[in-house]
Amino acid sequence: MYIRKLGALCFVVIISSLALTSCSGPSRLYAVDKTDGVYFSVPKNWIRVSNAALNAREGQGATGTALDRLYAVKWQEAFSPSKKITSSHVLSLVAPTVPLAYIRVRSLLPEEIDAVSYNSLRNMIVPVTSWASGLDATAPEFQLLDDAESIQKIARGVHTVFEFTPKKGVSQTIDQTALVSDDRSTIYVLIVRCTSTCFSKNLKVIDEIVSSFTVRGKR
Amino acid sequence: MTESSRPRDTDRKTRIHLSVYDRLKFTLLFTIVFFILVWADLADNPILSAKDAIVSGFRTRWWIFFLLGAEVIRQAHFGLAEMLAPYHGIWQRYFAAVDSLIHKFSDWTRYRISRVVKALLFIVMLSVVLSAIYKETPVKALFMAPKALWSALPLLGQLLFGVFFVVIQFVAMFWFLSRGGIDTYFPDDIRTRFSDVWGQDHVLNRIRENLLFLESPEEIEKHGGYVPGGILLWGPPGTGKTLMAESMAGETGKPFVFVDPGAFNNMFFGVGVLKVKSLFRKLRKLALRYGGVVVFFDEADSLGNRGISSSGGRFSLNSANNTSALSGTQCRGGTYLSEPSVNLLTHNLLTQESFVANSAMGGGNSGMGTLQALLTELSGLKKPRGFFNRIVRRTLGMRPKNPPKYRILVVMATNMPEALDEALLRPGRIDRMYRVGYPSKAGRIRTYEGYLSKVSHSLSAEEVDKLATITPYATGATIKDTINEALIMAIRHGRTSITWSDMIKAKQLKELGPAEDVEYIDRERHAVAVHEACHGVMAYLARYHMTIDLATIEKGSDYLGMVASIPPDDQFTRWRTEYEADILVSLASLAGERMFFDGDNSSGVSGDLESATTIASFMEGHWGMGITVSSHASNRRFEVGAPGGGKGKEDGAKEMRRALSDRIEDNLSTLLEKALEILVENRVKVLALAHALETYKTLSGEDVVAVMEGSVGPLVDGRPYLNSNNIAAIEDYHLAALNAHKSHQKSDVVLPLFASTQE
Repeated sequence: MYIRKLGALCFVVIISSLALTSCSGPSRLYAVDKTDGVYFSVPKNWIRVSNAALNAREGQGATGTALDRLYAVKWQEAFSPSKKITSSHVLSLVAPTVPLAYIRVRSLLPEEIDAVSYNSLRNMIVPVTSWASGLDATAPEFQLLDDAESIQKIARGVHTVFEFTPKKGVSQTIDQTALVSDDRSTIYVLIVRCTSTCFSKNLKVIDEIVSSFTVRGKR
Repeated sequence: MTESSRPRDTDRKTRIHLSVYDRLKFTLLFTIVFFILVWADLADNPILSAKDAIVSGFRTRWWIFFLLGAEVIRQAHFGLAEMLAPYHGIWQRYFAAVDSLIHKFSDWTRYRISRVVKALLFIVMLSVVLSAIYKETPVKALFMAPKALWSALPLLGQLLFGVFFVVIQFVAMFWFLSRGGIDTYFPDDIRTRFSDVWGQDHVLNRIRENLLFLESPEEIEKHGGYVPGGILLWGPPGTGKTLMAESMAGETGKPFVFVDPGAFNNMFFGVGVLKVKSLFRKLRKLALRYGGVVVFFDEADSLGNRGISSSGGRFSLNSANNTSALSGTQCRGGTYLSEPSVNLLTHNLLTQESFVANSAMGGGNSGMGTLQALLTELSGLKKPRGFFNRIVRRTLGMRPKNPPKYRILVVMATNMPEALDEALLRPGRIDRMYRVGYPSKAGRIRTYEGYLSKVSHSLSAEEVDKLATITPYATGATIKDTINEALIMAIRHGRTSITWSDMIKAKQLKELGPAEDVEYIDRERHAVAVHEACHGVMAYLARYHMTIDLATIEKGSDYLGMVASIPPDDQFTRWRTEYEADILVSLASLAGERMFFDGDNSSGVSGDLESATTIASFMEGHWGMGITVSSHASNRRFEVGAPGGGKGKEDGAKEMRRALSDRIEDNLSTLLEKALEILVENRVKVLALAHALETYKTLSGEDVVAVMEGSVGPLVDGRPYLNSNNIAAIEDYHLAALNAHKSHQKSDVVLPLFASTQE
């Protein structure tokens, strides 16, 4: 009888302790696109730049291929620890002073499907391959920090980390994971970037974000 | 300490303590639900940590904690009620008030309300579940469900087909098994008419009456009666039960359904029931279409009974003619008796074995509810039938029509009525029971005439009358058979027309079987002739209620010789003097053998003694024809013992109260002495008849009378037997045969022969 009562007591204690832990809230902020099965997480105090804001910003003055690409976007979101980061910061190449994580999931356009390659994935934002070759005279100061294949459940691509310093600008480090789905219909791009000093300062946080990036595909 | 019983719930001041499980079960349930949802979240998001899943679960699944809180409050309430009597009291009063409020509704209303609430709850739950599946609002999800159901229909159809595929095999099998065994005849299919049934007029009249009511039921129904629904025809085999049914089929203007005796014996459970049901469905249909129907169950005993021993009761007197049981002796003892005496002996033999016989019958029913189904169909609930009648009419607010009057006449025939179930024979099922017995003399004459009219013959009306007289227990079947036999004899003798002698020979052949054509050695032939002559003379002199039909010393399959008698009239009561005469005829063989063979006698008298003893026993113990009055049947039933004993008392009463067997023996001894006296007085007649038998082997009744009276018979001229010289010759022959018998040698005197013209 006592054992039973003891058991019941333990049960109640566990339940209430669990309830208490909820006061602090989840340890991280999860960015989830269930439709496409794309997941990553950022520290819990980071601030979201919404899909809608980014779409609106990208749509301003966009024509032709750019507009087609916008229509093909399935999910784009950005996170940063600062409230000052807005959609315009996200969509420009100016180096932010705080880490900025940006996810973009987009269908490939018909003409892109045949052209897609690991190099085209590397060259998603800046022409990494030509800059890295040293043959491009117009290339800024460029350093490839890491370049490795990344394989997920339904997609594969390259994880590239590089640092470049534009003329009359500050040095920026970009951690870019660009994947294409195995059926070559969709590309998944996660970019985490900030000034090189900021990047090396927040290296651990950025690593956590990049390693949480998971592409599972449609359920 | 006084022991007291556990207090009633109403006597408690506080609430009864809940068990730990009852306290925690809902908390446990909610916890489990919570963790299942957490697990679902974890499965949904691969990068989610367990801790974060739980933590976010607490935020997003707030409703679980709401329910949990409600549960905690409930348990707190219970806890208080368990500890604080006043608190419990308040709630008790509250619930009593609520109860009385609720019970203002009738039970039926409350049931309906609860049903509606449950249905609504089910719909709500369903919509919540569906909304979770479709990721839509519950209301919208509810409307999306039928679409899913529609798309699932092919699968449902497949499943249904699977079920149907299995079921159809059984349906088909049982359908095929429940066919057959039932034939329907329509008017004019059968040409047999009542006029073809001869000698059963009394039964026919009753059947005609039944058919009349079937044809015009208004006659009885308008006066508040009902048409009798069932007839049982029972009686010995061959008396025309089936023929009667056939003639009914021919006579009636209604369809006639013939049920095969084996129709209800089946391999599987339930097929018999199905058959009965389909039979009666058919009967109802026919009855409606044609205004009536006759159904005939031949050999109804095959329907069996439900294992109840039917020994005794209505049909305890078995009418089967098992004469072979009596004739297993060298001299065919039963033949000397009148037919009722034979029946009596048969019955006596059968009742000894009846227990065994009946128990065997109990097991032999067609079984498996077939009989019960038949009983119900014959007289069951009068329920409205038909889909339209019961469902559609009721749906439209109309009362179902009562079933119409199905005029079904059930006719059953059996020669083993004791094997039928008692419930089958009750009025309402079988209203009328007719014994189809042996035909009357008029019936026999009609039957003979009927069958003779189909062949060529030279029999006069008087001869046919005589034929009917000398065949008292002939049935339609035996008469037909005898005439056919006579025709065969005529044809084998090169004639096409039946003569009187053909008939007599055929009758003898049918009754006695073929003679074995063995020649006795002289002295044995003489002994058999004397034996039979003693019977014959005694029958002629002492038995007035029977006339001699036949005397023979030709060896048959189970006798050496015999004297057969027949009753000249149909008689239904029997008297003491008649039974005594029967015994005298039986005992004459023993008395005669002892008299003519110097006290010697053969084993051939065993059958005679058996029948004599049986009759004497019944006279003494049953019929009040002996010294005492009490019935042995009752004595045995009440186990008081037969009158007898009276030890030590030397008076007249003791003499009267000796054991039953002593009294029977006394009676037989007296009658044996009397028989001896009669034979001594008529020694000449015995020798004369023995001589006639040795000469002609087989004599008809008239020939025997001719020998007795010294007149001219059809075969034998009796006049020589009045001549004293001839008698002396016969005596010499007898003495020589007696000596040969004693010394087991051949007799040196040959059988004297007398010319029939000799004066």
